[in-house]
Amino acid sequence: MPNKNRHHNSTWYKLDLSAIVFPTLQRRDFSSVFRISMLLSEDINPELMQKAIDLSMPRFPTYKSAIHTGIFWRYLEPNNRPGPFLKEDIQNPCMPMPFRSNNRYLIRFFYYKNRIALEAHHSLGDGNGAMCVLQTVVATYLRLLGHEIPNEKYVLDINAEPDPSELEDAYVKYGTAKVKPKRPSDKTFLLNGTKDRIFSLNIITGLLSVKELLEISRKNGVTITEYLVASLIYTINEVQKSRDNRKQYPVRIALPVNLRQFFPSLTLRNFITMVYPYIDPRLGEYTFEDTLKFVHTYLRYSVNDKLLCGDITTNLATQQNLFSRIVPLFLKDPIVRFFYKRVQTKNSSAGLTNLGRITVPEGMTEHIQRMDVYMGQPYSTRTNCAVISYGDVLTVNFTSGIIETDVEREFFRHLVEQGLSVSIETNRNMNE
Amino acid sequence: MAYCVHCGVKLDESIERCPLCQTIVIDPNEFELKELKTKSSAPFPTTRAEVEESGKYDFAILLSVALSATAITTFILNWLLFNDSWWSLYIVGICAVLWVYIFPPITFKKITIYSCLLMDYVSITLFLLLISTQVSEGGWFFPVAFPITTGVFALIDIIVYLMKHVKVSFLSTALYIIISIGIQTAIIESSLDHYLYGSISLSWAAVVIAVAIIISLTFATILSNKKLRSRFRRRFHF
Repeated sequence: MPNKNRHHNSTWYKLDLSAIVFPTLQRRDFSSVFRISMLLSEDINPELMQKAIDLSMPRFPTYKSAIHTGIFWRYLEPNNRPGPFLKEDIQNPCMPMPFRSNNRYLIRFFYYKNRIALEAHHSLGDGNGAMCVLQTVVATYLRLLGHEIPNEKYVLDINAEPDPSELEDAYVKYGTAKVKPKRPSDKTFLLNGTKDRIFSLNIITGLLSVKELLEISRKNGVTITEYLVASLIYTINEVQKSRDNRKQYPVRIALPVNLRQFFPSLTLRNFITMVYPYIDPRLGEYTFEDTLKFVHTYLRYSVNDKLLCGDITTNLATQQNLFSRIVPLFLKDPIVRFFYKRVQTKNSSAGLTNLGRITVPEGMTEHIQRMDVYMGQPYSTRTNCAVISYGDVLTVNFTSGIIETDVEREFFRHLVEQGLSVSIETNRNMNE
Repeated sequence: MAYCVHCGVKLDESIERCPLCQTIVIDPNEFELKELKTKSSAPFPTTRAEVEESGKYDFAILLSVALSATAITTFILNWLLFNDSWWSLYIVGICAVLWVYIFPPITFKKITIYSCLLMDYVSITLFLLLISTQVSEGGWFFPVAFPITTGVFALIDIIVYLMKHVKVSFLSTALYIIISIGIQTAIIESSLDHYLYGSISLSWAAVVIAVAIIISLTFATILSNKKLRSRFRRRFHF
């Protein structure tokens, strides 16, 4: 919720529970930035698109803001500087966002031929919130081109005042469990590789048919998410076996869950939590079918409102602990970084985020060909995966700051062996 | 559209090698038309960018100006007005030390930590030498200050090397630090005893060394035993 200072009549926003960590962790090779993009049916008119951005952004005050440093916590304030400005796209997206650069904006808009992309710092919100921003901007752009687009689904009315529930910290509202369940921790197989040069983000995109994937998932009695998570876990385990057959560790995937499905909220800020499906090869040899069964059972067990509520409460307790609150930021920051480096990054072998099947208002369907989502540089030397589908096109985007492509290669080969048709695109310069 | 013969995936027409396995793409049907393909069909742009720096260089310049101004103005004041002793040399010295500590790590991207530590060591040693010549004709510098400073920086260098190339964990880092504290207290007391009494006999340092040995052996035992390590990690995780 916005906080109003009665004397100076200025609004500011506390960072939500997920957001407080990201500004602390940002460094030159880890950006806490993600990107979502849309491929339109025609090349973009940059002047009109800039106008659409200028008209739409006031509707999203938490995205049109700047981050400031307080004594105990960071916070957001409205940013009235010129911008954000649409720029030509670059080969290496999701670069870090120094808080004082880019006119202090924590979002960027890029265009390239018929692609419009929005990059957002994770302290502003998650993929769901950013999708609202991007769809509203594109809807405004299409209206400027003369098309009629209704305000529904992710498209918000740019002439209306922001709903206070869009700005709320939903974690505080729903962190109501009476116990704080402990999280199990175990050693995990960690991918590693050779770091590419600074500010690099190597992308490999796989395009699949939603129909084909749905058919094969249903044949195995799982959902598309479960199928892809199992494929990634199985692939990483195969990579582990090929590297060192003696030492085997659990393969665990960090999978964000959109809490809005379980706890109604209109918030455009972060409202996700993580679950960690895994297999432990020390228990025996896992075939792909075994992995599917295990992941399916794990996710059916873990992804429900009770356990997720417990998870939110556990996270909230850390933030609301009196000691956490009174320790000044300059002491909190190194502690958070230390904890994240020593513990959190070693919790999972890779990340997979699935924004799911995205729909658009009736009038927009014919103007959009495809959507993509990219996670920024991983904190450690590994690869991350982001999935989104629109229409019959499902895109799987692997992003990493390393040169090796073992995981991507084995993952897509595995999908092809399963009978799926995969098309590949990349931003890597294959001529070097 | 071409396929990779090893991976079985379809490849965008702008790609000449499979990005998954680096196999060259050869589509016999398009062999003659290959030279007509332009880069404009690429799905991703080819222009690279770098993010603007966050103002560290501006801070480095500001720091240099502030420290230089402090050093120069105090020196001039000392030389022209308050010239009963060379008191400004202390201020000039500490400004130089601060500059060496802060400026190179901020400004030079490729500088190694060992170079930074070496520069810090040289600057502190020279500053102590300066103080010793001003205070008492340098009597305590070589027997006391030099070995202590050399010991501190040598141990820091060793710890950094071990953390980079050997094991790094909470326990192993603590082990390195405890051992270093033990060694450093021995160096300190030895240097002081030798300077003051002409002979070395450890007293308070022996107590510190004994405690350091007990703690180090405990940590080393935990580190060398997998089950103990796992139990320790479980009970002490935070």
